[in-house]
Amino acid sequence: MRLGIPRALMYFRFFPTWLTFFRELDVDVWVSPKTTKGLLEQGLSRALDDVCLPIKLGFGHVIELCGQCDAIFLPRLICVERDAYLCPKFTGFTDMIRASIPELPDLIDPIVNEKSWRHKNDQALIRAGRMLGKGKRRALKALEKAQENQIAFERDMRSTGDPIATIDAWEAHLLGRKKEIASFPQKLDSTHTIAVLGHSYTIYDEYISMGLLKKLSQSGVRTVRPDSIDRPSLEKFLSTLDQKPFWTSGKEAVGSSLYYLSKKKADGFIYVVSFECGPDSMSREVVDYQAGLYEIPMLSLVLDEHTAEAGVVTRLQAFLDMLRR
Amino acid sequence: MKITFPHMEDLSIVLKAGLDRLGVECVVPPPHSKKTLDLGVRYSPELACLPFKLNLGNLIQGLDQGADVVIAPCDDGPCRLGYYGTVHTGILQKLGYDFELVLLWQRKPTEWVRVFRRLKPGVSIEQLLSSFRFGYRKLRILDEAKKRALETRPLEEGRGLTDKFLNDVRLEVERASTFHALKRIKRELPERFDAIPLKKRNGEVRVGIVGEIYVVLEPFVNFHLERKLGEMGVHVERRLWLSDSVKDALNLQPFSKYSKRRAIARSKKYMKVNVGAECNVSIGECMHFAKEGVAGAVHLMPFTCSPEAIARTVFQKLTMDLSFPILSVVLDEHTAEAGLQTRLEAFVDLLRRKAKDEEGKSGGRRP
Repeated sequence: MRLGIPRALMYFRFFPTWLTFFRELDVDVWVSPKTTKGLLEQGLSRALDDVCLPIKLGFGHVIELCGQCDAIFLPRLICVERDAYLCPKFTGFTDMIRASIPELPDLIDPIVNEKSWRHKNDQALIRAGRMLGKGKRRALKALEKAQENQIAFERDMRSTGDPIATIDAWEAHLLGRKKEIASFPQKLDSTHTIAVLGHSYTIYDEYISMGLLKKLSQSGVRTVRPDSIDRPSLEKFLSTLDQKPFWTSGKEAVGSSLYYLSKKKADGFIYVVSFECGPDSMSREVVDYQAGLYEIPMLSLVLDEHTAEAGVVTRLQAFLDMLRR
Repeated sequence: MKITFPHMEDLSIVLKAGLDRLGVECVVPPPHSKKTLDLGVRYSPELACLPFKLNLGNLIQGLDQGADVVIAPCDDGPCRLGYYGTVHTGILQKLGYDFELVLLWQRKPTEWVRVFRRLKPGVSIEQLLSSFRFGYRKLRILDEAKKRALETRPLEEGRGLTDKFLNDVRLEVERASTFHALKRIKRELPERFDAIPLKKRNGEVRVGIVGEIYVVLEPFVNFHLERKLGEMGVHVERRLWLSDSVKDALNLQPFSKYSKRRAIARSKKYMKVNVGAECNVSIGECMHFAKEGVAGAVHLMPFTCSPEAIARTVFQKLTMDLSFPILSVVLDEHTAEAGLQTRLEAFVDLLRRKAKDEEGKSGGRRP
């Protein structure tokens, strides 16, 4: 039995939990390869043009897995925290896939909804284990380990200087390819710090973000991201707003921007948005407003399948030149 | 203190009636126009949806007329509508408007009482209830009239007669200031619509309208879709009404005759979970229409609306499974009326031909 996990969407956030859990249960886990042009085109051929780039890419990764696996893990993510939803597209992703890919193998599709007592994250994973024929006791044990790893991963992500390398290192470790997890300390000699705001699945996917983080670090800029801040201080800054955003991604972007603004820890913002992203169309406006109050410059990069790398590079250079003036 | 609020179909009539009865002064923004849309588009984030842009246009026009309090609906997700008020406020403050924002939390009626007590200190619960009932009754009558208009429009002898009646009713309802007057309008309603001379029924096609509620309800946005279809001789079916939506917003849904829940339950075959907004409702309604023998459906969605994009993806499979044609129309500020008209005509032609083919196959007229 081989279980496929698409390297797309919430994978970038929860892969330590998912990989540890399934490997502890002795499931043969198969993760789709890193995004390539071919993968994206595969997705584009099946997805409608009304959805955003990451979802189209998600289609591509799932199609890639179709011939190679006996089952695909596609949880229906509604809420991953008590007071915020994920974008509706995550909730509907599994059903969109079901409707548009006929050759689909079995789906392991537990509902994750932290607002409901029956569908908490833990229960969802136990249910996934049961769908794979594994008992509850073993699942609970695996879950413990998975949570440990998730916490350690998030701690690593907070302090890392190269998040993509950290993700790769963790992945190699969890898939049993490497024993040790390499650490990537932050460079302290850079003069400027830029907060890169955006969803983990766009900024950590080197293909669709066009290597944004790498380009920034090559030009000697230190980058911080929403996941460089711990949850409690994020919540603390969010509570200063009249109405908090009710999407996980929105909360992270707005909360971290407030943090960096009021602590004066960032010299500029780069907001990476996918075209047609619903939640970001609202939260970007809030961040823009706040950044305006503190007079911090913000570059917003809108990505879709037609975005050209040269255009991104030019804008990035202009933005960096402006900061260094 | 003058209150203003965004439009949504005839919600302004209701809100104005209710607020007048409470004794709170309000400014009704001018009806939707090209100018409203231009204002909204100019100051909105480009990726925001059409309802957001129009609402912003309404608020700007309302504030320009001297309002200083804005009422905005508010929700805790996952639809963007729940966050409109806060983002609008940021944009309007940047434009230099000075006003107070009042959030009306959906599905929390106790909060509404608190809000209206703040707008009008010392108001009793009875007064509040009576003004709400007064507004709501107006809404019910308007929806009733619109339902009747759906029946008569495809069959009317003289074109535009139904809409003339509808307009008269709307004006009368708007002017009515007592429960008594409303009762009289309601009593006369059937007679008035019965007086419209009708052609004989001749197996006209039935088309359902589904989609995101704002664009389904707002004729300015969907270019009077109902009227367009009606004038083509198509019998229109729709299940989304503003009065049900208001009940929903007040958590009174169990008391309304039509409940969204039934449509959501019906959509289980394609959607295992409820995505929110009208996604599952659209799917459930289409399945229901297909079963009832409705020929096809027009699906309306604002550009970038996530839940409806999911529905649209699922429709691909639903159309195949049930052989039920669905025309998806994506609406934004660039949508042109002529384009929509052409697509509708082609769609209706297709449905007519399909009905004819089926008739031929079954070897005679269907009852």
